[in-house]
Amino acid sequence: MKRAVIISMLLFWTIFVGIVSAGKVFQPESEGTNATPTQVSTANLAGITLSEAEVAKHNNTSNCWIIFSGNVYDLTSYFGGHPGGNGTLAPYCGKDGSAALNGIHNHSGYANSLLASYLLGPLGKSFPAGTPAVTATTPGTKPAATTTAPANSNLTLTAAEVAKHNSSASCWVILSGGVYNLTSFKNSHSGGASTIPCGVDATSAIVSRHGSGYISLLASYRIGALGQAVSSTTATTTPTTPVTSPTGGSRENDD
Amino acid sequence: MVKKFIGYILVFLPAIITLSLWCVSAPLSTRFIDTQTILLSLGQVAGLLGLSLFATSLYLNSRIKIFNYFLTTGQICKLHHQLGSIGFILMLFHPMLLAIRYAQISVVLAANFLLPEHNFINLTGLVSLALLSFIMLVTYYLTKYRFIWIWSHRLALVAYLLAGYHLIFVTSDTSRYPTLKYFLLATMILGIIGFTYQRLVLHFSQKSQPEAC
Repeated sequence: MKRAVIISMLLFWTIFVGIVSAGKVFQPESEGTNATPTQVSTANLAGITLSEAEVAKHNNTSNCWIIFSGNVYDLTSYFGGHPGGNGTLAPYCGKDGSAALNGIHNHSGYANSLLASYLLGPLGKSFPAGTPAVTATTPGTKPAATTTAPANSNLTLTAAEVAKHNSSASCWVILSGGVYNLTSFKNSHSGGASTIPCGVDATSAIVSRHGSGYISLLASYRIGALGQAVSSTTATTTPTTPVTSPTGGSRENDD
Repeated sequence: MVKKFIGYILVFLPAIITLSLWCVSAPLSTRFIDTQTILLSLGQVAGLLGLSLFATSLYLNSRIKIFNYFLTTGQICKLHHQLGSIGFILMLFHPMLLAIRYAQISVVLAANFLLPEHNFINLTGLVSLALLSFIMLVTYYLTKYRFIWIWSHRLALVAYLLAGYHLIFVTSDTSRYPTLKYFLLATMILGIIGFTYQRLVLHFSQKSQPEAC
C-alpha cells in the first residue's frame, strides 16, 4: 500500500508540475482562450448550409458550433460564461452535444432560453449569399442593458453615484474599477437575481465565485471607469460591445 | 466470521452508498459517452469515493467501540491504514483525471484548472491534497519523530475541512444532486467526530490512551 501511495503521489505531482509548466509556457499562444471570440453574424453565414460537415469545421474554443437536438448553435461568445466551466462545452465543439445536454446537464429554463439566443438555425438550413447584416436581435449578441439614467446630462462615475443604483430596477456595480449596469443582466443571471449585490463594489463577490475572467464576459454592460465622466447617454445606451471570453479555466470546474 | 463480515460491510457501507448515490444522480449512459465524459465521470467518482473512504478511515482511528464489536483492534488499525491510503490515492486521481480531460482540449486550460489564480474553491481542493501529501510522507518516513508524526496527523483535520469546503461549494454532481452532498457531509461529520474524540477527549481525560495504530 505504501508503494502504491508513493507511486500515485509521484505520478500526480509530476503531472501537476508538467501541466502547470506547459500551461505557463504556452499561455500567450493559447488557442483563443484570451482571444476575442468570433461573433455570430449573418454576414459570415452567407452561402453556408448548416450541415454536420459545416459544424465540424467550427471545432475549437475560438470558433465553436454545437448541434443540440437538431439545431446548430454558435457558442463561441458564450465561452467563459458556462457555469460548468469551459471544459464542459469545449469537447462538443463541432459535434452533436445533445446526449450530454439532455443527460448530465439539468439546465434551468433560463439556460435553455439563453441557449436559444445562440441559435443559428436547424440542421440543413441554407443561408443564401448576400444575407443582410447583423441586427440587434442576432443570436450571439447579449441582451440590452436597461436604461436607467436621465438622457442628455453629464455623469461622473463615483462610488456615490453607483450607490444610488442599488435596486433591481436600477442595478449598477463596481467591478475591478469599472462601473457596470447589470439591471438587465441581473434578472437573467443563472445564479439568481438576488446573488448580485447592487450599488456596491462586487469585485470580490464575483471573482471569488466565478473567477476574474468572468468580468470580461460582462464587458457589454460596462459604462466606464470609476471617476470617469460620461454622458448619461453612454450610461443608458444599449451596449453593442461583443461579449468577450474570459481567461479559460478560471471558473469553477465541473468536478 | 459472520461478525467480521458484518464489520467489513459496515466499514465499506459509506463508500457503497456514495457510489450508489452517484450512480443514480444521472443516467450512467450519459456518463460514459466519450473520452471526455469518461474522464469527467471517473474523476468525479474518484473524488467522492476518496473522501468517503478517508472519512471512514478517520472514524476508524477514533477507536470508538462500535467496530470493536465486529472487528479486532488489529483489524481496525489495518483498515484505518488501508482505507486512508486508498482514499488518498483516489483523491489524487480526482484532479489528475480532470486535468487530463482539460489537457485534451488545451494545456493552458488544464494548467488554469490545476493552479487557479482566482478560483478559491478549486484552490482549497489543491491545498488539501498538498497537505495530505505532506502528511503521507511524514507518516511513512518520519515515524521515528513521534511529535512530528502526531502534529502532521492533526494537520489532517485542516486538509479534511478544506476538502469539505471544496465538496460543499464546487459545481458538480454534489451541487446538482443534494442527497449525495448531504450524505457525504454526514459521513465527513462522523469522521470529524471520530477525530475529535480520539484527539481531544482521550487526550484530556485521565484514561490511558489506547495504543496508536
